[in-house]
Amino acid sequence: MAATEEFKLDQPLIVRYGYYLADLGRGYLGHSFTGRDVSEQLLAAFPATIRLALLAVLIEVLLGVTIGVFAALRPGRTFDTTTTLIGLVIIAFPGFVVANLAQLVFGVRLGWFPVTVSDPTSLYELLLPAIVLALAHQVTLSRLTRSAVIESMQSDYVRTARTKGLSEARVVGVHALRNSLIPAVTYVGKDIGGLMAGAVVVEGVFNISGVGGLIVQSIRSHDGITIVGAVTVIVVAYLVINLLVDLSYALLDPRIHYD
Amino acid sequence: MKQSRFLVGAALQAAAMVGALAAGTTAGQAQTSQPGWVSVSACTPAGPLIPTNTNETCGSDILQPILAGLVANDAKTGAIIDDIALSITTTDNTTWTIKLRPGRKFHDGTEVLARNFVDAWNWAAYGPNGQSNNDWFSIITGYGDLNPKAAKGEKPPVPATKAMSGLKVINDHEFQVELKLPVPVFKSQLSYKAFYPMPDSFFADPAAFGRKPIGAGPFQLVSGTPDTGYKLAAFPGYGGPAKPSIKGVDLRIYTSREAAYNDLVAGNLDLLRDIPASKLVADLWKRDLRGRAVIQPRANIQALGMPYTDANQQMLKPAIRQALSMAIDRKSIVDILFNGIGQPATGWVPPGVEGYQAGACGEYCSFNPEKAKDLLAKAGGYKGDIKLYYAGDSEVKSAMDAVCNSIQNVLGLTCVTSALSDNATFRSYTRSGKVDGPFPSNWTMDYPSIDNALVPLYSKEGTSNRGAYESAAFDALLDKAAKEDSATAIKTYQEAERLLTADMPRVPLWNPAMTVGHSPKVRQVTLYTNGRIDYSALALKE
Repeated sequence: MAATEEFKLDQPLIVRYGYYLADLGRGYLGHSFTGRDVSEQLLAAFPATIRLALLAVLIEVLLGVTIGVFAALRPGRTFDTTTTLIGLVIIAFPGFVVANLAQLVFGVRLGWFPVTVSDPTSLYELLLPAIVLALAHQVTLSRLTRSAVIESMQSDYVRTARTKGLSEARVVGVHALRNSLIPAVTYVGKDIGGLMAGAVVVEGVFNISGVGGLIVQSIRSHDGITIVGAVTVIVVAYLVINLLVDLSYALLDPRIHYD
Repeated sequence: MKQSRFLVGAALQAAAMVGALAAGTTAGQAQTSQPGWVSVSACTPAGPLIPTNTNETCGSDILQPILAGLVANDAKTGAIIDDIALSITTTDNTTWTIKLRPGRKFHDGTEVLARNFVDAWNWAAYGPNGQSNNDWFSIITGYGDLNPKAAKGEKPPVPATKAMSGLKVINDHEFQVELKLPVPVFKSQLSYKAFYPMPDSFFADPAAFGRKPIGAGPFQLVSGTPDTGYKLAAFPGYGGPAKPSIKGVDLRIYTSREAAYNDLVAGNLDLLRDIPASKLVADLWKRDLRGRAVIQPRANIQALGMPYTDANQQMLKPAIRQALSMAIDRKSIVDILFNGIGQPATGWVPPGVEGYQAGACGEYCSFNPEKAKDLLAKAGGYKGDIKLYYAGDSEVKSAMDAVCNSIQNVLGLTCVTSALSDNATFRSYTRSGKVDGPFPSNWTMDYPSIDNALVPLYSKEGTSNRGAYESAAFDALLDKAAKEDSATAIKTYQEAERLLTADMPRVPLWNPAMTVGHSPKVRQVTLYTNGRIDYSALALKE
């Protein structure tokens, strides 16, 4: 009765969709079947997921770029081949195996990190889950950086910089690296979307009350309204991040201009 | 120097990001509990915490310690004992006089009076309030006036009255209930939370109550939200039979039981109910928890529902059902699949329930391949495959595969398990009358009395009689029981239970058990038959 009217279940699907879009335009995501405000639930869930994703990106960039650059300076040597091999092993393991293993070893057995994350989250608690999330992603990033840096190192402007007598660190750090960052930045941008998706697994293992956990829970309870709301917000966030990535190209390469 | 500015800028941005991250977090909640408190794994309640509208486990687990009703269920013995009620009397099982113990208080300080029951029941039974426990009140005279029926497809009219004529407040501490039909076990039913009293403040603002419920139970809600968990402190003004010795319960929300289990092993959590299946394998949990692992029976019965429709004429023969039942090696399945946790069912009532009789099902629930083959042969054999339907999103697949294999090996029939996409599809299909094979049927007791295991499932009018079973002799015994006093009625119900062997409307499979793990600081973990932890019986080590 009341629920039928509230959710407009007596209307055809297309009409209900119209109502949903109109609500969405006003920033209203609706109420779930259990009566909870979807926007409120998302607002409560998002901080944890954003913190986790940002921390993971930070770790990913630090690890990925550093490993990539050092591997590129001496391609084919011990450091390059070892990191490649380790990277392959990491990628070969499914995310939930790494997450569970890390929790068991570093949380339960060694006690270095908290086993689960409380709410509200603290940075220290998020460190282990973030490392787990970043591990697999940094492999691709380091490979991308490596090949881009190798390519730049052979380019004319690097040779010019060298002949100008600049120090090797400056040549690599400023001239080669900056020009190699475009593919890496593109990847990281796309990756934030991937991190939000990957967070579904990691959030479950470490009991983080974020968007990933919310989506899983809503799928289990067949709560379509919450799922659609959460996914809509994630898609918007993903689009905004990619827009920012595109804009950042101009910063990295002055030849790219947006008029 | 454009480049270096860029690098400095990037470094500053990174630093600012880390700063924002750190600033956006609190110091990190202490995972260790306050002294005298126990931390317990909980899950997010599905809706507002209103007793008459909360059916699911997550919400019930949070609500129950807060509430008290007329009667309570003793966790140790399973007996129904008086709680707020001083006496509950009847001469004909129809008119019940209920006297209250004076001086029992709600957490807001107001006394629990007769009108708190009558108002709460009327509110819950009032159709437009849309309470999910609404039909519990259908036994009371005048329920129909609050729930007028409408023609199919039309909206029901607004009820003319908001009160049931069967409820009368005599004075502050006494009220009278008149039932439509005699219900000998009405007193047992009163232990269900739909019948609990509500304070006056509830009726002013049910939504506020849903966020912060006020009961008359041993614990009161201090703070909490569905996402962060709830803190329940022992209520100093509690005067009931279940006075707790602990200071409070910290209900922590876990999205996965594996995560909670790891916290338990690492010493960050005190109590976890339902150990994850992966840890039960090879008694892994017993090694992890070293003597802190508890197994207790649960008031639940898993059975194989049988179709009682024209969709499969062969299944209508009792001998076929009995043959199937005798072909299932229950003990091996419990031992191997559930690691010995739980026990093979020997009847239709779970153990620990008032009126339980061991072996009610007799030889038909024992594994006997020879007899099973004989029965099948006498019934003229079975043509075609046996299809065993289950809900694809439930966790019963391995058990149903095992049942199917057992039947196949013993009877030489082909038995296939067939998944229906989800629980909703499964339910509508098994209720449609088109189902042509057996299906898992799991019954958890609403209150621990034999009638709750029989009436809803096997009586003609039963609300959960999915196989559409009908037996005149069975129904006659239920009618007879309704007119008897409760002790005699239970004997009659037992007689009715034994009658089920003739038709085997459901094939009893097993009674699962509950598993609980606790931290070293907790001792004496007792569970109610419905699986809740009895926090009042908990004791802590100094």
